[in-house]
Amino acid sequence: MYSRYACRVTVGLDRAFLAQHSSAVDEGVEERVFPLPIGTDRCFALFHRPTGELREPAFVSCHSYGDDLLNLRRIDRGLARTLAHLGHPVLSFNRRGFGDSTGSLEDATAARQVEDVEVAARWLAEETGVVGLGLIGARFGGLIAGLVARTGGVDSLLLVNPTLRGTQYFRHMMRLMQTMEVVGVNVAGRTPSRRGLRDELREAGMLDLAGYPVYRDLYDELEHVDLSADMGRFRGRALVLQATRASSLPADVVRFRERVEAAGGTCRAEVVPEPDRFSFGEKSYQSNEDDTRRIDVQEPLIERLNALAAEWVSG
Amino acid sequence: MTFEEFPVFVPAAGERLCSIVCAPEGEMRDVGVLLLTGANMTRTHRNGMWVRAARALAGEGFPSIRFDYHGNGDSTGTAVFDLEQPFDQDVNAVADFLRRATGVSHLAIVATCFGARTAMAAAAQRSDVVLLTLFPTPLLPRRQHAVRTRVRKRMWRTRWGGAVLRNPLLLRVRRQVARRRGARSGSVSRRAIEDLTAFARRGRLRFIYGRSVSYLGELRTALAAIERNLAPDERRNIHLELVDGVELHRFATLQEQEIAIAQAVAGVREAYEALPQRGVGAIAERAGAVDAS
Repeated sequence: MYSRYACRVTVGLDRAFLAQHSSAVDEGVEERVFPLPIGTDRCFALFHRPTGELREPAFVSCHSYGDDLLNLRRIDRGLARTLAHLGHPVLSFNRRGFGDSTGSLEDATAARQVEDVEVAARWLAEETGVVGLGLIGARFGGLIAGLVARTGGVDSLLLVNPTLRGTQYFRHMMRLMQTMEVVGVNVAGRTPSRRGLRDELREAGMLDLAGYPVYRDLYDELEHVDLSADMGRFRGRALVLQATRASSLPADVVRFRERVEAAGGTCRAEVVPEPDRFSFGEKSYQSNEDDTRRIDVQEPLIERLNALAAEWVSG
Repeated sequence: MTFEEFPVFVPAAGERLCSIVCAPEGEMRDVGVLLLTGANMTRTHRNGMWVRAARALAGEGFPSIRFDYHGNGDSTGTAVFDLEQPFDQDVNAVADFLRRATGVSHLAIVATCFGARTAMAAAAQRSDVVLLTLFPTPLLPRRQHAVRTRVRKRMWRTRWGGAVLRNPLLLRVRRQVARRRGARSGSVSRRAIEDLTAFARRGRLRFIYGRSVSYLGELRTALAAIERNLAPDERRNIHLELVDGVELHRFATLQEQEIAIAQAVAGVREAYEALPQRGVGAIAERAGAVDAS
């Protein structure tokens, strides 16, 4: 049964063996996984490095929050691989307190999350020598990317269904929790109103939103953030892809585009039709009432997003 | 820190499974743990539940590995998640890798939902798995109804039909109706029965179910079928623990996540302490609230 590897007798770590399996190359891109040190923490990182000539800018991918961290992972990874195949190095990583990284989510204030992205960007610049910096972000990841871009030093933004107003995302999570409650999923045995949830957050300092803790400090920091009104020092190129069933862009995306262009940047914003059985942010694999089988319903959207991103970055 | 983590790619049937090996910093005990998720979960599970479990296990000296199935998360490949064709190839690859990386000779698998079906299939094939800790999983066989399938296909082609089929409340109702229809038939997956029976003959099998979870009825049906195929001393390998007030399926509360982590660690500890002999006692069902603190 264990023919895959020669079996060892002694219990103990084989670091050389583990190191041998930390990277792989295919189709002109090396994928390497490693722990990225940030402060005293170690953050999971996945680096897509083109094996050929490197192009500017290099990108840092900023993940979302909550279930999005799981459900949008393939979208994030698809964009990373697409850009890497075109010569752009891409670093994806879990900020401190998220995913496989160490650190406390309670300490993951917006300011600290911005700092984490900046550390990752410096690592990327040192590792590759590529000068220009781009950021990728979907949903809450788009908000974090935008906050970093506002401080300057960012040349490109690739955003997918970005959260542009600070508490918009948490309101979305509260709505999700209310939906789960209605359909009978146990979410701490109460029927929450959104106002009630906000009050609970303020009093208790933390809210269990469908199994994800949201902390008051983060909520307060983001309450008045509106990227559609203020993009600070960002003057670069932006692409906003909005997966939706609507035929037009949301008003805040239109405002965001106008804001970027008024500041001297460029912004292309596109509606991307959602596939039949899939809404953005939902699970990748879905079934009908037959619980025994789930198929990929996200792939058509991933392909479309990748194609648009490739077109934009090459333009 | 009491642990050290190593992100790796595990080769599996031509694909790469992005995995994290979590190893204790001090002495390592001779049981490696595989942490398996449901179909749509990535290796961390909901809110990093398996990350916390892995680190808690490392704190007690147990190395572990958590991974993304092929076609999911940071792994390569494409996938169809079919309970009747679980991903035992992925698990066997990851299990062999953990053994090679750490030198452990015994394995324990902790799994939720689709992961539980996959765990059953892999454990049935391996002689090094000493423990399965399984959280609720569907056990009904697949039932297809030609007319219903045709109607659904036509509905997907229309805007209103798609909206109806996507509606989460209606979907849940439809699933509950389908489950009741399936449960009335009294049948459970033959494959699941075979896998569980094969494993229960030599390994410790723990089911940790919320008392209110909808999958409990079909589990009881499955256990009755398995019991008929086992000798009396083999039946003692099976334990069903019911937890009040929770489902332990979606892990949509911090409380449920803490219960799962505590149960995962407790089970591995017990299994380790029971080596080289394994469990005595009848199929034991323990009821009541579990203190997650």
